Amino acid sequence: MKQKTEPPKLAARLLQYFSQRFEIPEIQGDLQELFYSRKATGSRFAGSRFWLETFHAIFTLYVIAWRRKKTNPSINPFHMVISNVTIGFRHMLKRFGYSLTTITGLSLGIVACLIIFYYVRFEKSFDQYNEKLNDIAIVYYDFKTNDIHAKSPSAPDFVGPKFQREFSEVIDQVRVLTGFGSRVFKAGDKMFEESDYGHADSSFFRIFTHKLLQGNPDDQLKRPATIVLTRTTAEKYFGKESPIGKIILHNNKREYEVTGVMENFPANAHIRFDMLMSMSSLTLSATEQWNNPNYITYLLLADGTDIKKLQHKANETWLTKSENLKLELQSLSRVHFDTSVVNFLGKFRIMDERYLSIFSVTAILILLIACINYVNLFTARASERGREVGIRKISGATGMQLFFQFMTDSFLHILPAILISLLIFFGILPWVNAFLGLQLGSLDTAGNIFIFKTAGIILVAITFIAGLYPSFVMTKFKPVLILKGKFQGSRTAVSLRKGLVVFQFCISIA
Amino acid sequence: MKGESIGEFEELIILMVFLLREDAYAVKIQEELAAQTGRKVMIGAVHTTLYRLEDKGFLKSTTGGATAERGGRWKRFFSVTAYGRKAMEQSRDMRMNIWNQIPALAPGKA
Repeated sequence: MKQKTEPPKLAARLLQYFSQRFEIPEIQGDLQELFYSRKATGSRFAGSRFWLETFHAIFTLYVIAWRRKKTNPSINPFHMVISNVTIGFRHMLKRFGYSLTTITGLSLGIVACLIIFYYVRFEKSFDQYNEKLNDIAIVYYDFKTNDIHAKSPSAPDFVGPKFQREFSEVIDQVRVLTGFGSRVFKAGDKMFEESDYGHADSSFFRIFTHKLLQGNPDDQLKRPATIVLTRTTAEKYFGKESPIGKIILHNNKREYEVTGVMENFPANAHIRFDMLMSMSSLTLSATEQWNNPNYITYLLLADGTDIKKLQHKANETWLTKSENLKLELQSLSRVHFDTSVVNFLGKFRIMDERYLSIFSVTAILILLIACINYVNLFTARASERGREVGIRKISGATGMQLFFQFMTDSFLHILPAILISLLIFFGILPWVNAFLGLQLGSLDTAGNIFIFKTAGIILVAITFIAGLYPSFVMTKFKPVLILKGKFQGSRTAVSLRKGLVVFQFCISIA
Repeated sequence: MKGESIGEFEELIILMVFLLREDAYAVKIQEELAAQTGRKVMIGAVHTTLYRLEDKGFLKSTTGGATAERGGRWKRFFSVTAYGRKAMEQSRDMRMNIWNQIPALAPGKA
């Protein structure tokens, strides 16, 4: 028969569970000791006694735990946070000048940061409003002569339809002819000189995403001598009346019938117009002359088409004999950043993408400087808190608690900073928009969300970066030094402070 | 008499704690109690009383003395606090006082 030299397993497990739960292992140990000593004296009732004692013990454990809870109200973390916040506020108000400086410094840094990120986001969003963005390509003319090598975002008028005819992956095409110089448009007694006008194929609205506010969606830019106005242009010429069916006189020569009103071109379009006339109004060339690229040509491609392959095919098929001329296809999503193109007539809006990285890095550096400022100001004031921390430590504050307290402290500074900077940001937004040449009145909701999200990220980031060092410093020093009045900051702290200031200057200069 | 009163069993437990000095933990107290008074009590009663006395402030405890037999768990050793000692002495003195007032039952007299 197997010798049972252990306490009954089930009872032991029960006892173990409750002992662990209430964190009172000594009772369990006692019971175990009794069991073994009974076993040693040969008693046969060790097991049953153990069971009995286990039940009694569970009861006892509950009683002890209950009594302990009555005398030890637990440190409700909620109360702790409130207490921290209150103390934090008191400190802030006590040295209001310092606090104000800190918060203002942070705010300005954050505002600068927000503006930069706002700008970068805007530039990155160019042409993103088009649903078919990934399938649209623009045709570039890459021609060399002995003197010049230039790339122009245009092509002769036949190229677009030729692509569509000869390559099955080209589903659709649209040509846009910008106006050359400004012309006078007249409707009724309203007369204006316009420079942002152009002609476009009827496929324009099938390829690009623009909302049609008025007019028949099937009859835009189809018939000759028709024109589509943007919303503000329509208001300009026709006020509150519907312009549909009305006539606009172009250049005193030709009459165009208004077939529709479209929403204004968004601020992040690489090219913008106030009005578009139908391409069918123009006579196009009868033969294929490759030497006169005037029409901006876009292609709508089938899903997954390899643009470079198509480009290669086109060049191989049509231009093998030409040494000077090559076609290039560029994805619409890259047009805004393609600086290799000659921006004829200045109608395109293109920027060098590398600036965006520079700006972003600058924004982060600005934040870093703000954090460093905060840390510096904090450590300068640290000796004042010294006594408080010393006493806290002595009364038994754990490192974690102190750390948390000072993180709350920095959060308390950063939160107002962020709120103020948000206020400032939205306040000066009109000026920022004007400066950037945008026409957004107030921000669209997506933009708003972006700003708030960014602000949130900054909040968390700064709280940690700026809060970490001070919290550590406060947690680690010895309380004894405080009471002895010796706290001046270690040598390392002072030199660190000096190093940080130098670092800041370097960043600013760079 | 100030403070809370001590029950009869509680008094015995405290006396055992006095007696056992450094070795005053539950199992030993139970043993000694049986040896001295012949009362065989369940360990649970000892535990309950010890902790109650500690809550009342008559005893204080420290931990230590883990053995393999106990599965490595420590023992809780109890000792009498100054307050506890005073309470015991007060109780004893008060009883002695009353005993002494009854000539027939004075200790030492048959």
